[in-house]
Order: sequence, then structure tokens, then C-alpha cells
Amino acid sequence: MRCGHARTVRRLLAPALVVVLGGLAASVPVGAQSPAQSRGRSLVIVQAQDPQRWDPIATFLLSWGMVGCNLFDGLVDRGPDLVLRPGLATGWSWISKNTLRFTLRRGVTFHDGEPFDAQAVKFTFDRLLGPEGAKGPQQGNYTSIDHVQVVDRYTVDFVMKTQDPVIITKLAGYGAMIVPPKYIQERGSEYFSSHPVGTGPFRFVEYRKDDHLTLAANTRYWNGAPRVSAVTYRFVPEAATRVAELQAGRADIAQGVPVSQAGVVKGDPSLVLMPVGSPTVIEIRFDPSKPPAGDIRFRKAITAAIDVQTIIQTILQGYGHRVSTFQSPLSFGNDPALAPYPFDPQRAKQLLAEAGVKPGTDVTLSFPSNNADFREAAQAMVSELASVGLKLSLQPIEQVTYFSDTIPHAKTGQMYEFGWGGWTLDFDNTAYLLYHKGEYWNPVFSDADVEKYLEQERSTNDQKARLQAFRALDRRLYDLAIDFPLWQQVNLWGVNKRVRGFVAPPDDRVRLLSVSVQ
Amino acid sequence: MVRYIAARTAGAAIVLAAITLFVAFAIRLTGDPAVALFEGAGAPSRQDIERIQHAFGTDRPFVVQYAAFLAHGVRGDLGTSFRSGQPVTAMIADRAGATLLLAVGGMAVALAIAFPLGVYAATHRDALTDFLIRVASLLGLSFPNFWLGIMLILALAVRLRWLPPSGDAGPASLVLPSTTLGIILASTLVRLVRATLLDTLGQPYVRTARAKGLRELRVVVRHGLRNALLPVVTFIGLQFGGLLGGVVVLENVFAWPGLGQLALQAVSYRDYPVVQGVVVVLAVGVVLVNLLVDLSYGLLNPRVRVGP
Amino acid sequence: MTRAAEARPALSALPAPGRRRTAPPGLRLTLALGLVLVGASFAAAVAAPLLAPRDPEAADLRARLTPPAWARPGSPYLVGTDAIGRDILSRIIYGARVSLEVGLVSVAVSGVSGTALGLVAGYYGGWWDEVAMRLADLQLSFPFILFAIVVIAVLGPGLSRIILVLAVTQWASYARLVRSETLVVREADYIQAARALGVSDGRILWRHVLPNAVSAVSVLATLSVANNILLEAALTFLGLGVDPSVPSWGGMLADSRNYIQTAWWDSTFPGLAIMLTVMGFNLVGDWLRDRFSPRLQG
Repeated sequence: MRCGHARTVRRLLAPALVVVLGGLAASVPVGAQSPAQSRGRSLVIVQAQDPQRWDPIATFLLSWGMVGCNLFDGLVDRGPDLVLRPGLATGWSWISKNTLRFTLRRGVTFHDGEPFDAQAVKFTFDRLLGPEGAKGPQQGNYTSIDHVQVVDRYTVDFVMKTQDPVIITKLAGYGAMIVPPKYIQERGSEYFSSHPVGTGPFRFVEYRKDDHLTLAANTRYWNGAPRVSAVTYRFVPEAATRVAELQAGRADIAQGVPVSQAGVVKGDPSLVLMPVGSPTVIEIRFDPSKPPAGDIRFRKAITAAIDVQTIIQTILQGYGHRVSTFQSPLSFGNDPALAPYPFDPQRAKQLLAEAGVKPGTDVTLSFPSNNADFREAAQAMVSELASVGLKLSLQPIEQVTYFSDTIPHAKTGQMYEFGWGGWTLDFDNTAYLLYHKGEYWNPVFSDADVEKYLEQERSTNDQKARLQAFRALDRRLYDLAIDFPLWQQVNLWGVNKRVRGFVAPPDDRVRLLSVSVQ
Repeated sequence: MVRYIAARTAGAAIVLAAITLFVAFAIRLTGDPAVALFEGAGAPSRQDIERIQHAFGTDRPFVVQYAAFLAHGVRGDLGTSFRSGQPVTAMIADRAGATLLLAVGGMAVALAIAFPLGVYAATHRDALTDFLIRVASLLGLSFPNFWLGIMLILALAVRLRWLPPSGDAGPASLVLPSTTLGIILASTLVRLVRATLLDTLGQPYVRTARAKGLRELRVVVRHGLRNALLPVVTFIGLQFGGLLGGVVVLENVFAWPGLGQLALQAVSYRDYPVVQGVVVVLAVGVVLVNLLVDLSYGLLNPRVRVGP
Repeated sequence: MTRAAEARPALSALPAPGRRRTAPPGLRLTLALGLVLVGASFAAAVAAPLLAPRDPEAADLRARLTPPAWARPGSPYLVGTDAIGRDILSRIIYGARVSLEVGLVSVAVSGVSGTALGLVAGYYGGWWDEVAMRLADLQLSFPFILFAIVVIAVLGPGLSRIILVLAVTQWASYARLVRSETLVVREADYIQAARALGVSDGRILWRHVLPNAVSAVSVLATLSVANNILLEAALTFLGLGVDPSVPSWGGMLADSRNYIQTAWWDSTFPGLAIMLTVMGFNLVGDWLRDRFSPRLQG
């Protein structure tokens, strides 16, 4: 009797927790008023990462840019439309072959009251190019600048060391954000890094590492006062938790919504999902030193065996755009005339047979383990390659190991994932460091024609000639099939409907000047 | 006693030296912090990497780096973080409080669940209720901690909106992470309390006490629990060291600004000084707790002698 | 006040079976249910190719996240498909292989080595104790995640590496636990008596000390089997897992976390598989303890 009873209870009990929790998770929210209303005109943004240092010369992280673009201004400004326009400089022109002159905006002050002028520009670049900048990752971007010369209080000259076709774009980059000389000289760089001061539309209020950063509106901003009173950036590493914060009404904007959670955001009546094409492109590279990847027929067979379009439609739910070379359509150097490699499993089998690759051959695909979308795509590829007779093993590798050991020391499988968005939106940024022989992340591949085209595009400022060289390069790489470009990444933002005027930025620089809340 | 503690302190110093040497060496095999710094940037050039390695001092021979770490370490200076530019000791001090709070909260939840249930199960051995308690205690062990955490967030924070989903802002935000941690710890603790209590309740002297006509509750508490505490205290001591491993994942899920997140980020950015610093602090903690556990053996059970 | 180690049971720590009273119904139930659950997971692991309805790695992207058959009549997938469009049931059946291997091998290695060290440290004391316990301190203060990253970075990813990480990071728990039991027992009168009678140390440890530690060790070991199956999931969560196309329960659960709200079956069924197996091992563990622990004999 007792036994029978016990068994019944036990049978019910085992799935009980799942049912109860699952039931709660699937039911309608019962909370009455959304906490979003109680925040008034202040904004809460959840982002994955705390960059830890707010000094512009000390970082390369997109998570810095998300905040930094509201704290700091550069001489040049690049908005969400990726068009360059005047920032702290009102105009610029080349006054000689190697001298670039900027006219500065008048009447601008830093958040601490210090005036912005030519001295501040000179200080910023002296610091960036000097020993302080040498400790950070930004300096390498600006080595084409020899020095900055003060002409008068509101005019500066940039004297160039070498040709740099993308210098104007770079002056909108992180490292070129103008910083306050007096403040840094008095307080020191370490203090500045945790108590940043700039000229931007918001000023620093409070920072608790790994938890949150709070900014308040800079009502004296030169381009008009922001419409929200304050903004708190919270650092929430787990994507599922960021979405939960959004659903609970405790966050207004969530960065980095994973594709797998897109449906959750779309299905919530108080939220909108905002997709935006990013400069980042995902591809599979081949290591030609690992047989059979040295054989072009094998590489072409792989490009024909994987149905990229279906992967984009299903796993990425359409949030991805096919690409034919390793650059996004936003990139200078992209050739729209090149069609992506066609999906043709029959041809793949034929090419494999021609290359003498036996059915059942083992091949390995390495990838950094933090890319969730690619992780799913790679598992689909296992099945697709199985149907052309290849046995694909997946090798997820912890990301720092991947980028500082596995790739540079050619320890990958025959294939490996690579994702990259050149922030200058110029193919040179990608192509030189990936295809030029002996670069850090190109330990194996080399090709005489590729070297020739790279040399051509680097040696001139003439954008037409450069574009021609890039097109030739695109074609050569495409024919060699040394890599298999998959898709341009689409970033997803989750936004509460009370937020107005938010534009999802391709480069993660969320500008809050014109954002308001209802 | 003094001699014993002195011997243990010497042992602890050896442990610390060994573990820092091993950690400092091992972490350098796994990747380059200079490259990690370029995340989000696309590719660094070789010159960039060499420049940063020089700024970090990681271009020096390992022996030189380790000697510098030791030389500063004995003066209480654990170096400067590559990633934040802050002194490591300040970073650890900033976050230790949050983790301690979470650990204490989790342990409190665990004990509050485990003692009543464990004692009840032991005193009703093989009854249906005993069985149900044992089975129910396994539920906490049947889900990975991140999964349980996400489920609790969805149920209590998103649907019911009783509690904030994540972050550290006031006592309400402690509830979800410490409950998650507590449920997981309680699973093991319930069974341990039950098992050890059963062991002691089966002892002749307990039967004697019963035969003397002592009230059952008094027998259980005075004679049973007192002796059952030994393995439970050992377990709590063991868990303390293991706790940091467990909170790494939970702090990540709950965006809790504690040592677990600091450690995980330090490891994933190869922030050598922070990794070394966290390990030193952790090792000191483990050594101390285990020393206390060993000493408590003597208090809980007078016949046990420890030490040489 | 009764002292703890007073009047231990007689020299024969393991009583003759005849002396046992018949097991109470709860105990028999424990064993029966435990064996059924453990047996089922072993059967799944051994006979996976016979039992699984489909190839666990074959993906049909167009059928991804199909609900279970009872929620969508006519669907060929009994408990639905995952985010890649693979049959979850087949993956659970094959997943038993990896999960049991991870759980059992790591516990066997760490349990045996930790117990042996704990016995020696507790029984002989002195330098043995000092060295073994400082080694345990060393191990316990080494963060698990850091150790996992180091091992996997240096040796490369793989199942054997995960097992190695789990085994190496857990022996100290057994060592300290067994030592604490041994410290109590070695002072007992009957051990002193056995020593005086000239019984060898090995025999004393094996026959009289070890059985006293079995209780705590079996609890820890059976719980660890479960815990290690879950730690494999945590490693996957942190990006240190193995080939994700090879099914394992922990890996399935880790990869399903973003679908908890939209496709409940993706995480529920691997979760149930883990829960039932964990329950099985622990019920068998309960029985083992009740059967072999000398102090529980009524």
C-alpha cells in the first residue's frame, strides 16, 4: 500500500519542478506597473561588457564606444549613418601634401569647465603618440601622424609622416577623442580612466566596476542639450539575463540580443527588436598547409557543399546577409558584381572525387567558442558535409587561446572560423593584415598576385586607383577560394517602446543626444 | 597548539609559493594578454603586439616576471591589472564584499533548507517522507546552476516581477542569486546531514541515552547532531574553496559584481596580475578555513588529535 | 556526557548477511527504483544504435525546433527537435554515452585516489598528513575554471581532457573527508586493540577504517557523478566544452538556454534525462551506504 503510494507521488514529483517553473515562465506577466515608468526621464541600457577603462587611448572595445561616444567628441564625427561630418572641428583641408589643417569649434568646454581649444587637440595627440599612448592599443592606428602643431587658439595642423588614405575616418575613432589637458595633468591618467571627462552630451556621475556607470545630461552641450536627464549603463554578461532585464521593464535598451532570443523580444508587446547590419563579416578560412585544404578543388567543394542561404534563413532567422568576399557591403573595396559561391552538392562531390578525397575523410573546423550563432551553423555544416561524404569534426576553442595561439601558430583544423569588421570600413584594414604574407594572423597563406594588389592600393591616395586594386584583389581571392565568406553579421537591439529616437548603430556607438523617453 | 599553528603557517607559505609559481607559469601558456587587448579591433600588427607586451612587461623572461611578482607580493603589492590599470589589491577588495555576501546568503539558504529536512529524514528513516525528502533534495542537483538561475529569473523576475533579475542594488537583488546557490548547496547538505545523523543515531551510546529515557528531541540534538557536525563542518569548509568555482557561473548569470566575475574576466583576458592575485587570496582563504576546520575537530570531538 | 568514540562495534566490521533484518520497504524501493533508473541510462548508452530512432547528428534545418509529437500531431519527432533540426530523443539516447563516461570515470579516478590519500594521511598522521593535506590545500585553492582553461589550452579540447580536469580537481574533497573520518576511527579502542594484536596496518585500514568512511564517500561519490555530468554543462556554458555535434546531456542543456522561453522541450528533456539518472545513482548510493556502513546495523 505505502509503496504504491510512494511510487505515485514520486512519479508526479520528479517533473514537478520543471512543470511549475516552466508554467510560470510561460504564463502571462502578473506584475502590475512596469518599473520602466518609475524611471521617468532617465534611461537604462544593458550591455554585455564593462570595458574597465574609460580612457579613449586604452581600449578597442565596442563596449567602450557604446558609452564613449556620449562622453567624448572627436574633431570629426561618424554617426549611425557612417557619414563623416564636423565634430569639434568645423572644417578641414589639406594645405600641403602632408599637412592637414583643422578649424576648431569655439565656445566648447569640457565637463569640468576647462575650455576646448588648439592646446587640447595638441595635448590629446601628443599623449596618444607618446609614452602614455604606447601602453594602449590605439596608438598603432595613428602612427601616420608625425605631430600636431598649434597655429592659433582655434586652428591646428596635422603634419603627416606617411600617406594615410583613411586619416579623416580615423579621427572619428576612439583614440582621437579629445581629452582635457588640465584635468589629466592634475589628476593623472589612472584617475581619468575611472572618472572620465570629455566634451560630449553626457557627463560622468558614478562608476562601479562590473556593475554600472551613470552619466547625466550635459545641458551646455554645444550641439543642444540631450532630452533624457540621465543614463545608466549596466553590465550584464549573460544574453538571456539582458533579455530578461528588458522583459522585466528594468532596462530600456539591450545590446547584443542573440538571434535565438529574437522571437522573445518580438513577441513582447512592450518591446521592439531593431536589427542593423554591422561591418562584421563571418567566414571560414582554409589552412592550405593542412591536406587536403591545399587543393583548390577541395576548397571549392566545401564552398559548394554548404548551404549558406538556408543557414541564414533558419539559424540566423534571416538576420545576416550573404557576402562574396571577406568584407561587408559597407566596405570600400567591396565588389557587388561578384556573386557568392553557389550551393551545389553534386558539384561538390565531383570536385572531391577529382581531388582524390576519399568518402569518409576526416576534416576539422576550429572556431572560437564564444560565437553562439556560428556554433549552431557549424553543427548544421556537420550534417551537410556528411551528405557529400566528409566527416566534419568541430573544435571549439577558448577565444584568447584561439586568437593568440591557435591561429598565429597554425594549429587550427583544415578550416577555421574568422569574424572581422574593419572599423574604418576600408578593405585595407582587413586585407593587408589577413592576406599579406607573414602577418600575425596569416601564418601560412601567400600569393604573388595578392601581394602585388596590396602594394598597389597602399601606395596611393588616389581612391579610384585604390578601388581598382581592391577589385582585382577581390577577384583573385575569390578565384583562389582561400576563404569562404559566409555572411555579414546583423546586430540585434532590444528596445522598450517608451524610448523614442533610438537608431541602431552599425558600429555599436549608441548616440543618446536625440533619444527621448515617453 | 602554538607549535602546531606555526607548522601550519610554514606549510601555508609553501603552498602559496607553489601555487603562485604554478599559476603564473600555467596562465602564460594559454594565451597572450596583448592580443586579448585588441578584441573588437580586428587584427593587431606584430609591432602593436610587441609594443603592448613591452608595456605589460610580458616580454621579459618568466623568471624575471615571477621574481618581480614575489618581491612585490611579500610587501602586499599584487601588481597592476593589465586590463583596468588599477592595483590588483584594490580590485579584489572592491569585489570581495559582494562575493562574501553571496556566499553567506547561499550558505544560509542551504542550511535553512538542509538542517530541518536532514534531521527530519534521519529521524523518519525509510518512511515515505524520508524518501520524498531524499528525492526532492536531488532536484537541486539535477540542473546546471546557470539553468536553474535563468529559470528562477524568468519565473520570479520576468513573470511575477517580484524581484530584480540581476545586478547588485539592495537586499532584493541578493534573493535570486543566493536562493539559486542555496538550493544547489542544500541538495548535498540534506543528504550529508541525514547520513551522518543516521550514523551517530545508530551508535550504542545514543541507544543508551534513549534507554535512559531522554526525550527524543534531546537525544537527537545533544548526542546526534553534535557528532554529525564533524563531516558537515568539513563539507562547509570544502565548499568554501569550491564556492568560488560555483559563483563564477552564477555571478555571470546574475551580473553580480563579485570575485567570480573578476576571476572569469581576468582569466578570459589573460590579465596575469589579477589571476595571480585572485589565486593568492583564494589560497589564503582555503588554507585558513581548513585550519579552522582541523582545529574544530578537536573541539567537537575531544578524542581527535590533529597535527604532528 | 557520553564521549564520541566510546564502545565501537566489535572487530568484524562487516556483519554476516544472516544477521541483517529484512530491509524495510523504503529501502527495497530505493534499490529497485535506483537500479531501474541507472539500468535505463546504461542501456541507452550501450544499445544507443538500436534504440535511437534517428542519426543523432543528422540535421534538417527546415524542421528546427519542432515541438514534441503530442503537441504537433503527425510530427515524426517524438520529443521534438533542437535548434539545428536534430531529433532530441536520439540525441538523449546517444548522449548517455558521453555523460555517463564523464560522470563515472572522473568520480572513479578522483574517489579512489582521494580515499587512499585520505586514509594514509588520517591513519599515519605526521608528515604523511602534512604533505597530503598541503597538496589538498594546493588543489582546493586552484580555481576550477582556471585549471580547466589551462588544461584545455595546453592539451587541446576533448572529452578526455574534461574528465582529467574533473578528476584532478576533486580528489582533495575525498581526501579531506576520508581523513576526517579516519581521525575519529583510529583512536577507537578496537583499532588500538587490533594494533596491539599485531594486525597489519594494511588490514586494519582495509577491514576496519575504510568501512567507516564508506558512508560519507558513497554519498559524495554518487552526488559527484551527478555534479560532474552538470559540470560538463557548465564548461560548455563557459565555452570550454567539446565538439557540440557529439551529443551529451550537459552540452544539450547548455546550448538550449536561449530557447527556454520559445522552445521548452529543447531543455526539458535533456534536463529530465539528467534528473532521472542523478536520482538513480543517488538511490543506489543510499542503498549501498545503508548496506555496507557498519554503524547502521540495527
